[in-house]
Amino acid sequence: METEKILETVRMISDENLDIRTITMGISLLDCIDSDSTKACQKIYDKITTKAKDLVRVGQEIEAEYGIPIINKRISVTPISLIAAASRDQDYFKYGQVLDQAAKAVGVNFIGGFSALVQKGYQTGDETLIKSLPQVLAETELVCASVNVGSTRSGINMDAVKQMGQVVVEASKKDVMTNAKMVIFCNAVEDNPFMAGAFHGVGERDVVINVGVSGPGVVKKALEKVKGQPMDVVAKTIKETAFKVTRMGQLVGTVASKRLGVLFGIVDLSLAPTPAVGDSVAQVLEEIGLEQVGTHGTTAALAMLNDAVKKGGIMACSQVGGLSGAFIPVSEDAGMIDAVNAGRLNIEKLEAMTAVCSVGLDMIAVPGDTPAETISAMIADEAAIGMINNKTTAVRVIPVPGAKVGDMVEFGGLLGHAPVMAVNDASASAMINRGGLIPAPIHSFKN
Amino acid sequence: MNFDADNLIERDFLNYLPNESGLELKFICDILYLHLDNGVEIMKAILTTVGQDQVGIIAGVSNYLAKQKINILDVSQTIMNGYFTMMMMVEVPTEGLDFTAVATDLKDLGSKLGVEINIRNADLYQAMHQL
Repeated sequence: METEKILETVRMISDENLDIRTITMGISLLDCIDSDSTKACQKIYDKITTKAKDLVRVGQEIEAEYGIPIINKRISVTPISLIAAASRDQDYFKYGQVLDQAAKAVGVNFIGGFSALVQKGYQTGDETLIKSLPQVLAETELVCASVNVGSTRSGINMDAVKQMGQVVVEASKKDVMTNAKMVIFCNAVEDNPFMAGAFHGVGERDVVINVGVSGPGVVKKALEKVKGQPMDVVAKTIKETAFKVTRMGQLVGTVASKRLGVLFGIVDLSLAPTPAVGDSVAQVLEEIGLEQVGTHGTTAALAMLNDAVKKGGIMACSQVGGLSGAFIPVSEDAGMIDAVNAGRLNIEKLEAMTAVCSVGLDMIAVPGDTPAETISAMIADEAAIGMINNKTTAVRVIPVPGAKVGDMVEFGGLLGHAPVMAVNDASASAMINRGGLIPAPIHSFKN
Repeated sequence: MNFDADNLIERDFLNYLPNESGLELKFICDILYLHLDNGVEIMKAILTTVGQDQVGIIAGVSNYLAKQKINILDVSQTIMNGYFTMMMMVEVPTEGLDFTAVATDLKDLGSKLGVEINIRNADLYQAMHQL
């Protein structure tokens, strides 16, 4: 092989922060359902600690052998609202605890799936799970939660939207970090390896390995070589880079699935930033030619980036899934933080960006006194964008008690830090309090 | 062609190293390959060394590999943008050798020699650059 190609790979890993963001083992808990919740929890613990017992060791072996960092080893499970419903317990804290214990026993970074899918309505388990969310998020360490409140096929469950606004506010009062572990989705995907929104869909195999790649730093470096060239050249460069990055995800997933004796699911092609210098999606957009992310033109640049990442990655692996695109979390991206601090990026622009990127309003700190109805309205807006555009959207906002606009909040680690952002102060409570269902859009009737 | 591989590594092989001659190294490596291929399952890895040029880099790396009985299949060395750049294709036995320890040792050796040394399974490079 040519020296130059070998060195290119070495540079991507050493200097440009190329990594595998996560190997996530999806585990179905459908066979753990029991009308006795103690028995169900024991079955859950046993299944997770059996199936995932080698996950961390194998991940570390691959890291050492291939010399590529694998930042997270994670587990996703079947939405707990489905598993716990048979028990008729009054709250599901016990289920949250057992997930936390199992995750700690096998040494993973996070476990996702304390989830409910309520896009059209609630079954008994959904209601109980949503009620349990603030306590579970506050009193467990590794458990991540998600609630799907809408979909293109079924519309938006506005009762759930209203309730989730209240849950976000209530959870924030228990601990500021709780909401970093919870995502509210529209069109949630069932094979997403990324947290906090990962869960193992009911249509999935019993156990599966999914991989999430990363690499905004690599894309930025590649774009530095095509300064001033037309946008189609920029798109082509991104595609080529995404292809290479995804090939690495495919390799790691294939090796992990072979060593764990578990079938390989999907590669999620996402460009996931971290607070590290040079690992920023915002800086990729700025490299395309924006003075600072958030200015006019940002949406166009992001649309092209998101599409080119998908096109490049899709041929590089056997199966693509998850969210696959560019993430724009504010607190996890140094360029986004700078733009907010400079007054050039606000929530309204971020909302526009979510119409063309792969997820939604992500890791955004807002004042602690933001009304629950306003948070519900933000969720409704995002869900509407997802529903109408046939795409996944999500909300992960963090109300920070006592904080004012402009204050800086430290989340730590990969979650970074975030400036508290201004929220529109006019109320939407009359609409939110209507509840009910926003009907599915006309283009959902495809049968 | 009936060398004893261990003796060759300890004695003859090192004698060639101060010359840092690619041709001679390649020849010696081919011989080593013949004699070390004893049926043990092996993994092909690429060892990259990049940094400021100085005396003894190839000697240091090769000496370490020889001690670990890691066979060198191919070597290329050049000065690229002013930096010493060496690529080695090596065969690593997958049994009886702790690859993580080897990778750590080589990183430490790199620090001592003032260069960055990485060893990675060759499949990584194949996956990224070849369909």
